Amino acid sequence: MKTLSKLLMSAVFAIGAMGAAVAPAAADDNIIFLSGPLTDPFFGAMKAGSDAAAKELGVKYQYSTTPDFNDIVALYTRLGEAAIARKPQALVIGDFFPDSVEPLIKKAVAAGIPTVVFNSGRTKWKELGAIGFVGEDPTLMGKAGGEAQAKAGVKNGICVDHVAANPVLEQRCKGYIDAVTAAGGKAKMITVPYEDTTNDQKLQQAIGGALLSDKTIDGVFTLGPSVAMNAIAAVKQTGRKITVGTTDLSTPALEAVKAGTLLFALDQQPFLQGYYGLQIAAQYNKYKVAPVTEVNTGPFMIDASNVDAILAVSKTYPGIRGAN
Amino acid sequence: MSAAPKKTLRIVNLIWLGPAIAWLVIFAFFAIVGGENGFLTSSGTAGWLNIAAELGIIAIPVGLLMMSGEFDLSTGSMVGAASIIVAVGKSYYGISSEAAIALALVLAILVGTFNATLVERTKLPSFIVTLASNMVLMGTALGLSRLLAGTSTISMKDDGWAKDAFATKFGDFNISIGWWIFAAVLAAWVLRRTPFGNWVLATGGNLDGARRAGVPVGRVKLVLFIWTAVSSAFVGVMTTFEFNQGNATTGQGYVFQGAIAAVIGGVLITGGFGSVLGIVFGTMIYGVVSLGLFYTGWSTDWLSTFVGALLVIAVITNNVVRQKALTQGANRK
Repeated sequence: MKTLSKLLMSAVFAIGAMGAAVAPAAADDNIIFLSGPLTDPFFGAMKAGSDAAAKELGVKYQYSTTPDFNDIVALYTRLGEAAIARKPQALVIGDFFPDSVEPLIKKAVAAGIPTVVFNSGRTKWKELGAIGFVGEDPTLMGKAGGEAQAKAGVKNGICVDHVAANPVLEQRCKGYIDAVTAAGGKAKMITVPYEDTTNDQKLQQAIGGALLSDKTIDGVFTLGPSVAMNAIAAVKQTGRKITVGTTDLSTPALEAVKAGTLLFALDQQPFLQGYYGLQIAAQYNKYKVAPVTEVNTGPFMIDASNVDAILAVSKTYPGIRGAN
Repeated sequence: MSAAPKKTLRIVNLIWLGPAIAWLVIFAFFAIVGGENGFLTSSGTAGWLNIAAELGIIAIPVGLLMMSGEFDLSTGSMVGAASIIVAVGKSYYGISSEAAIALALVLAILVGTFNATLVERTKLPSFIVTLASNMVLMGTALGLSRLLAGTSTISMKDDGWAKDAFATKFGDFNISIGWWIFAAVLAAWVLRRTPFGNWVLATGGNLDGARRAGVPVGRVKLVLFIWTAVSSAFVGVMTTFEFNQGNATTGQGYVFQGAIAAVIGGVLITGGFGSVLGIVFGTMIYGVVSLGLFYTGWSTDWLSTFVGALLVIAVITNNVVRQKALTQGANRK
């Protein structure tokens, strides 16, 4: 959810374009970090990471973003062009919209700007000539969920795709199904029609229906913290012992992990994407060192063993996890 | 509106029979394929009834509005806006449930008045006017919620009277089913037993004729637009208390599902014809179909295909029934 697809979905809601906040051409000793709007707690956590890295490494950097999700594809592309024109020390860029961002990455590389790709774009960064990639892998995310459930004894699982035809969610489901199958169980995906993506009642009853239709289902994997809550309610209705796990975080989801109704929440750790993204760029500039493979910041598993510590950290440093 | 022969009245009074039979057939179908999978259990029954209840509370006034010849496509955003008002109001400003609900309902009255006034003044099709207000309202709800709370999904906890009124469960059956029955009885009474009901059908059946006959068509539409908006806001408030969270984009599914349920239920899309009981059956059909598939264990990718096919069949069937009735010269329920 929190990747390309989420941004695209939000972009659909665009009504009016706001002026892009392009900074005036300044001294070019900045590293430019081009990322998503801070109205979304996910990107708030990402900026917390890049801020921390810049401070600890003593480099100058600028977090560049659109004010919100309105008309984001066009504005984001324009910000990218402006960033390249400034010839920064390095460019750290999220490949959220491959069709418009990948030509930009090529352009930046051709202009001799060291470029790091983060969040999305894992299969393309090398080909585009970037020096590194840090982000998540949706298939690995699903696989981690499937393996954790199989370990908890799940033999027959369902993966709830609540945004029909979303490629990232389908990949996560595939990873889950493959992992449960590999462990000797079986699993399938259920899809909810697009217009009901945010209809809690429909999601809960649909999951409830799927659970009732097959009494042997003992695992549910959801792809968003809000759907996870619906799944927990549906499981409660059946009165059976069914293991629920989810990707992504929210405070209620973390509390459910603590209460034991949710087995785990998988995090892609936006803080680290911000931190490592900036770090790779800074260290490459200074020492010409860079990781040779993709750096994976997810899936990080939050379960009963570490949820207390994570809730405590969230109190001390709110927003580090990007949960709302 | 002249007195119709007895025999004709009987046919027209049975508008609901088509949807009722269709519901029985579809219910029987899923009872056979999904019955042993739990479709017929109390939990399974509660599942589709809970969905039908929320949709039904919106579909009934939407159907009445269609009978008067107008559409309201702003229902979806009204659900989301009401939901976000309650959640932001209670979680961020700490106002009481009464105040939050009152705010949501006042906004609904304003939106309904706005829709009705714009349609009346500009003579533009309500389809376009309310589609526009749907987008304006959705964008505003999303924008304000991000501005005030930084997110589009806001948690809200409440254990007061509102939780009891909107989220009580009897087994797996939600109290929303009771509200739905109330909404249906109220609408049926208005349509059948009051002059206003006659005005609704007259306005949709023959606008100029109704106007000449002294029907206050502007006021009829105003009341109906407010009715749909308030009902949508009611559903937004209800689901917010039930699921402990407000979401600005929730409810968009109702925009067309409400109209679909009304049409499946025998309401004539161009106005002048329909019954509340028919809409109730239309909504039940929608509830059974949209959930039944999950009990069959079949691939749920095909759900929308089923609903679409059903819509075509329902419209054709209803058309046949209606032709029969109308050729005999009756235009009353």
